[in-house]
Amino acid sequence: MPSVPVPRLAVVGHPNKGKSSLVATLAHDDSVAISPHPGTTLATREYPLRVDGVHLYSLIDTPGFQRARQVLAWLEERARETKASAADRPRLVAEFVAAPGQRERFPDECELLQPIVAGAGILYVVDGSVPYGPEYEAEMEILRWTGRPSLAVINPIGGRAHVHEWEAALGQFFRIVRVVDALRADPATRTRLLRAFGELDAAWREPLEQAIAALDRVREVQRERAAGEIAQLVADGLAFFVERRIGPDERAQSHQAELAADYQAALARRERECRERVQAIYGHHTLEALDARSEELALLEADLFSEGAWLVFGLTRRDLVTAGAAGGAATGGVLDLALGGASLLLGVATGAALGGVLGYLGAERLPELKLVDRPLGGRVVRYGPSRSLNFPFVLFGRARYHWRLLSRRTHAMRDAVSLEPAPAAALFLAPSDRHELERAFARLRGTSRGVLARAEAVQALAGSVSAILAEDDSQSGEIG
Amino acid sequence: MHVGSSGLRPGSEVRRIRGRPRVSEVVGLVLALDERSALTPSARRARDLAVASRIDARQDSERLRAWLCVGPTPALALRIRRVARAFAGIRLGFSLLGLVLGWCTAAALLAIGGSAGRVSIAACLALLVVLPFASCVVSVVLWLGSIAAARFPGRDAGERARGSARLLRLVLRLVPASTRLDVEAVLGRARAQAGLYAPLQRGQLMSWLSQAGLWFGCGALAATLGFVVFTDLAFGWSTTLDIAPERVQRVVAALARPWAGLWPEASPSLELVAATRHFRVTAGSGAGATPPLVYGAWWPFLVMAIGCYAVLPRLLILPVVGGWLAREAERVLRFTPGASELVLSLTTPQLESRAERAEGPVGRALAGMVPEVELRAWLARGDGGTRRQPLVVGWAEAVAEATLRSGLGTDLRFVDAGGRRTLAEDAAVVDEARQTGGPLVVAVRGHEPPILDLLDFLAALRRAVGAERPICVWLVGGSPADHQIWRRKLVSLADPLLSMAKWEVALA
Repeated sequence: MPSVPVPRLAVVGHPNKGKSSLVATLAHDDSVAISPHPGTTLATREYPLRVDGVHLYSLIDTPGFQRARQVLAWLEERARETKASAADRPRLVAEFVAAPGQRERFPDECELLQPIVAGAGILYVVDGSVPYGPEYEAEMEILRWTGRPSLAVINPIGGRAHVHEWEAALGQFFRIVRVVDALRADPATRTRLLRAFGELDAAWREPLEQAIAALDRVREVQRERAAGEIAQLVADGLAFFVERRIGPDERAQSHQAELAADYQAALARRERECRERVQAIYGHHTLEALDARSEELALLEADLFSEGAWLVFGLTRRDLVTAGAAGGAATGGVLDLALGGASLLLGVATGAALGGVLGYLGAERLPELKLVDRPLGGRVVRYGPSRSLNFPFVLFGRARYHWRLLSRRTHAMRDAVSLEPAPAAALFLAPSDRHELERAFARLRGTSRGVLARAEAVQALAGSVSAILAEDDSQSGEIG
Repeated sequence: MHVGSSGLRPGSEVRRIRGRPRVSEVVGLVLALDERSALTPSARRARDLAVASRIDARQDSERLRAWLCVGPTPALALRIRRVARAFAGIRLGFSLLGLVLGWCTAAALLAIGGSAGRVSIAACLALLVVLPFASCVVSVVLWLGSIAAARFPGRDAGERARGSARLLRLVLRLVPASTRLDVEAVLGRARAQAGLYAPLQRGQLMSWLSQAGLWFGCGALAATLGFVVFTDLAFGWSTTLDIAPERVQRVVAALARPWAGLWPEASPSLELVAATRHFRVTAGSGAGATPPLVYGAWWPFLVMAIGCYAVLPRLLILPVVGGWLAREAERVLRFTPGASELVLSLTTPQLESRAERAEGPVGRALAGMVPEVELRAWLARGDGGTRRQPLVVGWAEAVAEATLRSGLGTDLRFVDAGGRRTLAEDAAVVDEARQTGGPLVVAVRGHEPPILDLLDFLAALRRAVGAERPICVWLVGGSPADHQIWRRKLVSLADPLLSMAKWEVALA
């Protein structure tokens, strides 16, 4: 257990300014009640963050201020009566909460001030998309009277039109002001916000830093696990085939349509399984029901072998030719080396040309049908595995897209998801990443035998995927 | 088992693993993972948590090995140690077997030959040099072949591993039954996952056989040296074939080439070869023609041949096999089913961030909505009760007076309430409303939610002006969704003459 007191932060503010959303996002809890109707939160609810059983900090969701001016008037009147100095103000707030009858008259204020009086820090939340109003001043004044360390968060629920106005106003009441979109706060933003909490009280810094380290590690592990699932999906996809025994007089082609349907259905099942596992890794259990409502998710719902999916997630013909040529040139180069240069780089040239042509042809979406003779007699007709250079890229692209959607989804999001930026930009692959993936895919294709070799190839691919996902993860930020 | 060799003991604080992974650790890991999987998830997590802080490792395999030292229950740890001891015992057994075989073979050759008057140098070379060297070459070729075969299509791994598994099972008959059952349980799994475990089985056998080969050479060498020192050996060679000593000398010279430069006496000369040839039927003075010491001059060659061809190759191969085996054991440790989940559990902090108690009662919007009116029409119709000047209350500076007048005309009375105003100022506004008889309009910011402070004010207004005068809440700005929220919330006042209007203006 840490020797310092556990930081507790009461998330307070006007009703409907995203307090519960911020709590849901920071606490990773999608059970927090969020509603557009003011007064949804009636009682405080504490969300302790425990790492390996050690309580590191708590967030407290509170009801919004309803009668702030009346409370402030009571406090001022009481201060006048008792001739209280500024130093007595925290005591007066405590008296207000404890005074008989106040809980009936001011249930929301008593409920929200209770944890603050008990020592919690203050996280005051406002909406940066609407203008500043004088009705907030009584709330901020009451919070100042509590004497507790405080921080203001501007939550731009519907845009950032009034953020600067709010910053100027809040700056007069709070030492630290941050802009955080509760719905879209990425992990880095959450980390910076936690670090800002640490600035409120030096004693809180240590547990909060521990919490940040743990959250970062968990995030990293989640990403690695998701990368592992994606790599396994691609590996399975690359090795997958369906086959059927046929009679001596049967034509292989007559089974093609059926086998193709089985092949695609099985891959679709495997892809769905991967998505469910990745969703479970991120603790999102409610997304599936919302899939159909999202335009972006329609891309994922599209058939894996549809032209649209291959256009969005696959490589371009040019990339495929380049990739094929590079691979062919490398193979040809080995031959040139073996001949001690006597071939006058003919191997490189021929390899590149052949590889380029194969790369171009490798854009074919569907695998070929093959007739295979069984060693003990009989024939089977086999559909797959896909030899297309593009296929693993499409599979990976879709999985990556799904991952992006999930990993950026906060627990405050309760409705259709919109993904920014647009898919094309979001799924850009740097040439170095693409080459690394090409190598990893080629290695996977070459290890059809040998469990360990295959496991290592999958692990290597997972490493490459994890690096790409880490790059994706770092491309956002939402804090001012 | 590694517990002993790495110097780690359960109970010490932080453990860092040293040394190379061993096959016995793979067996131990499989047993320990079995034990772990039998626990409930929470018990598993609690145990991992308790152990994780005591492990200091960077690599996954190191972490698994360290876990193996502290993770299993004492009873299982004992079983794992027994397995490790069994492996060490088998290794020792192979070494002793090799040593004894080597010694006995050499002793038998030299003793039997000695008693017959001549020790056949050809037999010595065949059994003490050529045979160990050939077995070494064959085992290396087979081993490399199996490694190469694993990379190419062909028979499946299970089929390839069957021979080595059978051999291993045979070897395990030497260990106590309880330990044998543990190892065989793992071998049973190896049958199901032959691709994973088969290379390890072959490697382990290769390692043990190399140990035996090395000690065979050592035993033979020791016996030869012993006989050379303590008996008088007369080496010789004979053949029924018409082979000239020159040819024999060329063969032995070729064998002695590696050390000929270093020790010329250990490379038999033509004279020695010719002088030590013997026939059963002798034509002249027989053996007496050659001085007795010449017959013993073969011993340096024999000793060097055993050292160079029976001992040295095994000595070179053993670390290679050991290194390969350690690398395979490390790979298998990582990919053993359940190992990655364990590593994840050991390296991932357990986060709990959900509320301890369930969400309590939440506020619900009331059914029904206050009627919505068009403000100008409402004022023009005189819904305010009379056609007197309307009183517009700007709540919390919802709208500037100038903006209001430009929108509604100048014939109105405008007062501020709420926001920065005090409660006394609000009370004054209520009092003024009571005295005036005109329509009552309360302008509020449409984008802000209706709060009880405003509802209290509206209730106070109602009490002041009586039940007959209509009041209109005028929403300045806000979205249609905001307007719906207002209409629903105002229902809570249960005021039949309360209505709502909206003015969609852009706010400053």
